[in-house]
Amino acid sequence: MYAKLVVGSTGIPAVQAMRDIVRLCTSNTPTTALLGAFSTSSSVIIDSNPAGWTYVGSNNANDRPTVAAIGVSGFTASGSQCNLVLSAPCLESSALKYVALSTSFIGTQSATTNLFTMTGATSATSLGVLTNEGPRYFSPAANGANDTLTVALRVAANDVVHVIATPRGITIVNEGRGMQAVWEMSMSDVNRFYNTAPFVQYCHATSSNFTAETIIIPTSTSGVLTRTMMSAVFGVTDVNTGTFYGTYSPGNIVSNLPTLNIGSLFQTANNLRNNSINSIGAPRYQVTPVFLQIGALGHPIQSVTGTTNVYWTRPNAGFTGDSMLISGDVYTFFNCGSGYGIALKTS
Amino acid sequence: MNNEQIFTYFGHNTVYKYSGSLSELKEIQESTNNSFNYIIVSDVIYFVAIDPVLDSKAQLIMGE
Repeated sequence: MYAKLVVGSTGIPAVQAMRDIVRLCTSNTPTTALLGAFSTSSSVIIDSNPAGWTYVGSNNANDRPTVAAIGVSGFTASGSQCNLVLSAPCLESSALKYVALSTSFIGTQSATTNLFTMTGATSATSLGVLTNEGPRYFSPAANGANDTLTVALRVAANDVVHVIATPRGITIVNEGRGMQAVWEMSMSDVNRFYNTAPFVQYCHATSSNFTAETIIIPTSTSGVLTRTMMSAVFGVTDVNTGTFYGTYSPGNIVSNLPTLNIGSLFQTANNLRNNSINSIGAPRYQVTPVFLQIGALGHPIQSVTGTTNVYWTRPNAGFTGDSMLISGDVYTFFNCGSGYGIALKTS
Repeated sequence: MNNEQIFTYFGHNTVYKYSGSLSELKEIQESTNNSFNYIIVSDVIYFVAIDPVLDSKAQLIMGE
C-alpha cells in the first residue's frame, strides 16, 4: 500500500493524522474515503494493495476497539499521550511485529501540535500497554516551543507524508525532510532459537542531521532536541552472557555519532552514494542494501533488504514517486531530504 | 552489567529491580496500564516504566 497524504494549508493535530494512517494500514480496501484529517482532494492512494496490518488498540478509550471514526474529536486528555498500535506477522517467526504511532506532545491536540513518532515493541495489549517499546521522543512543553524538533514526524501546513506499508514493514516519509520506519529483516539462528521476531526500528526524521540520540526508551524533555537518529532492535539476547535486552540500539553511539557493527543502517553523512558508471562509462545511480549486525551480542548479519524491499539511494535521485530499476526489479523512489533517499516496493 | 551500567542503558530514568517472575510483572503492568521496558541480567529483571510503579516486588534502585 502506498498513500501520498497531503496536509493542506492548515496543520493537522497529530492524533488525527495517526488515525488516518492506521485506517489505511489496516484496511482491505485503502481509499481516500478513510481520511478525516489529510486532504481527500489532494491525497492519493497510489498502490491500494492491502498493507496487511491488524489494529491492536490504544491507550485512548475513543480509539477502542477500533480507531475512532472520522469526525471524533482529537485526544484531549492532558498530561498523557495517545498511541495507536498495530501488529503484523513475520515471514518465519511465529512472534508478531508491533508498531505504535504516538503523539509527541502531551496535552490537548490542536492544529499546531502536529508531531508524532512511530516505534516498534515486542508486545502490546488492546489498551495500548507496550512491552519493550523502541525509542521515541515526547515533550511535556507546549508544542509551539518545539516546532523545530528534529526527532519526530510532522504534519504541519503544506507537509506531505508518504506512507508505504506491506506486511513486512511500515515506512513513513516526510517529503523532503526525513523518515521513520519499522522493517522486518532476515531471520537469524538466534531469532530461531529464542523464537523472536526479527525487525528493526529506524528513526531519522531530519535526514540532514546525522547525530543520534542515545535514548533507548521513551523519554521526555522540555527542551528542543537537536539530534535526529534513533534505532532499536527488539527482544535480543546476548548469547554469550545470557543478558536479555528488551530493546537494543544496533549502533555503538559514541559522542552522539553511531558507529561500529551497524552495516548500512545508520546513515552517517550526506550523500554516501555518488553516481557511478557502468562498463561503458554511462552514468548510473548507486543504491545500497540495508543491513545491520548486533555483533557485540553474538548475532550474525541480518539483512533488511530482501525481506523488506528497501534500498538506500543518494538524495534527489529523482522526484518522489519516480520508478527505479534495481537489479531488474522496479522500485519507487522517495525523497527523504538532503541526506539520502530510499527506494521501496510498495506492495 | 553493574547497576551503573544498567542505569546508563535505561537513559538515567528510574530503574526498578523486580523479584518476581516476568509473567507476574507483565500482569501488574497490564493491570495498571503502565507500559514498560525490561532487561534480564543474570536472571534478575530490571525495568523502567512510563508511570511510577508501586509493588512490593519492585524495588527502586536508581533514579527518582
